[in-house]
Amino acid sequence: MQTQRREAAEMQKPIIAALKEVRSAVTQITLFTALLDTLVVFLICALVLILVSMPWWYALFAAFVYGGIHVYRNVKKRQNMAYVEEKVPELKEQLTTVADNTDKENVIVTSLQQDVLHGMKAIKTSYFLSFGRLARELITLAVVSVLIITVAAHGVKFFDLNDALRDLGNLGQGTGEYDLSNSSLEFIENMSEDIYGNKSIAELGNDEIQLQLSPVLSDIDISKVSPPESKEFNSALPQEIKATTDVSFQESIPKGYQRIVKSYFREIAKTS
Amino acid sequence: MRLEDTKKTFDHLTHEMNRVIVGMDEVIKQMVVSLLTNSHAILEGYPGLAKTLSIKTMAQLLSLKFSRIQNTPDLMPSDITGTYIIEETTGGKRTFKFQPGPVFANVILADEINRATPKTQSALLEAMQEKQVTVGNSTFKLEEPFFVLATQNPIEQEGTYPLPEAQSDRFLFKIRTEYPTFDEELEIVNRYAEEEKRVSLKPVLSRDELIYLQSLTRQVPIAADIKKYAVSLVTSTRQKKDLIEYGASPRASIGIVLAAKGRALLEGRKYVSKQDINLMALPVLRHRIILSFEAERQNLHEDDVIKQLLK
Repeated sequence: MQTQRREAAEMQKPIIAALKEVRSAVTQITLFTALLDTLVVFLICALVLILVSMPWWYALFAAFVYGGIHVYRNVKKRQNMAYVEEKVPELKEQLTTVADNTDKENVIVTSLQQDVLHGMKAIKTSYFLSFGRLARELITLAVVSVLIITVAAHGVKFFDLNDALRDLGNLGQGTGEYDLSNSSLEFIENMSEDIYGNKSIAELGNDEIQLQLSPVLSDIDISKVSPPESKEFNSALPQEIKATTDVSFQESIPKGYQRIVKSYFREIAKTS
Repeated sequence: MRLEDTKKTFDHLTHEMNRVIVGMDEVIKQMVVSLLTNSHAILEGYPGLAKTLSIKTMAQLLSLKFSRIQNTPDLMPSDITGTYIIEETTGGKRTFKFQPGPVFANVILADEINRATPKTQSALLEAMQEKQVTVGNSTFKLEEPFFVLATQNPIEQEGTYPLPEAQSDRFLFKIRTEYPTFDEELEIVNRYAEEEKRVSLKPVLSRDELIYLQSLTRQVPIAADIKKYAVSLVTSTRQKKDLIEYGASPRASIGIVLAAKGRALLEGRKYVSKQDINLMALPVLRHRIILSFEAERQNLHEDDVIKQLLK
């Protein structure tokens, strides 16, 4: 009985080692594919960021988050032997059973372990690599890299996301309740020469206000407004209009002083 | 017996059964699984579907002690368990001697079990559960292996005593026998309506071999995911309140996993497959659930509801 147990324990060693080896190979492949996927995500994000005038290194955050989630999910999923069984249908349900029962020792378990060990020899690393996907990812990497170089060299930009975001922020400010103390509510004095003034006499932020007085709702009753009365104006014009010279005009100023007086008045005119 | 020979043994057993029984492959397999798991089974089907014949044939193929109990309403518990009789010795002294009943055998055919009174059913079911019989102040251990293969028919319910749920739960399987196909029925006619030919059956399995196979059955490993699947299947019967009023007990979880192991060994596999669980779900669960009024209104049967759960 003891001999049988020892034999069973010895038989388990290779199966445990084989399971570890398979898990290790699957983990390595998972990490490799995760790295490739993350690289693709990084380059695509970087391209998009360059096109919208944003710093390219923002793509590092996106790639980091994606890579983290990708690795966590896939490593966890692929550590399960069911993933290996998907790739090696000959071992379907056997590999999981053996992996879940490594602590058991009996005739059937030992025999199953031998069968599985034999079957595991057929497992190849290539089973876990999708060459089609790998090729697609490599092509994507190459294409996106070329695009990034071209875009960066020619300074191509679709639009400035910073400006768009700023405008979007301003748009948001105008939607609040009116605050009369707000500096955005300001009176614009008409400085133009147009006697009718500007079309907008007041601005609320960027909104132009159009005011209309309803004749019905206003305090002024238009119906009671009478036509303007004609009024007689009395003419108060002088009887005779004539021009005379002032005394100063007749003042005789010496010619020498005349120049001084002239320059005096010119200076006054300048300062005013 | 070597591990590799188990499949051959079962194939031989099935082949021998098929010499007598026509077209009941699944019923035969479920009966063998019942033997492998050291559990009891109840065969339900209309009269004339070879329920009794299949059990008798199975008993003949196992070199085990076989007895038959024909259940009727006037059958007493002592008719099953046995009773004390007065025995006179040569010296004229009278003593009580225990006369074992038909329950003291390895394979019991309890024919039309629902025709016995609840008291008599209880006596049998106690023996099934405890594998011992108590008569008076004495307890008698039943010899291993001990199987009860009971039969009942779903019609002619008048004057019958349907097994209470707690008692039917002690049967691992409720095996349903169906009508044969046209070709199978033609074969039955050819075999049994012509000149009578006696089929001589030789035992395929000895008592020790059967006990060994029973121990092997429990050793069949099962993956954790498949075990969880089996348990979730059983617990889902308790959650589907719209169609199932009372779901299966944890005994059903034990039964379904054990039955799946038996099925795997019968198929010559060294591991339990999800398919084994699916195949064993119907016979293990069908007598352990009570359908709701809504299910009955929809004219659904236990098997229909279990199939819904399997989806």
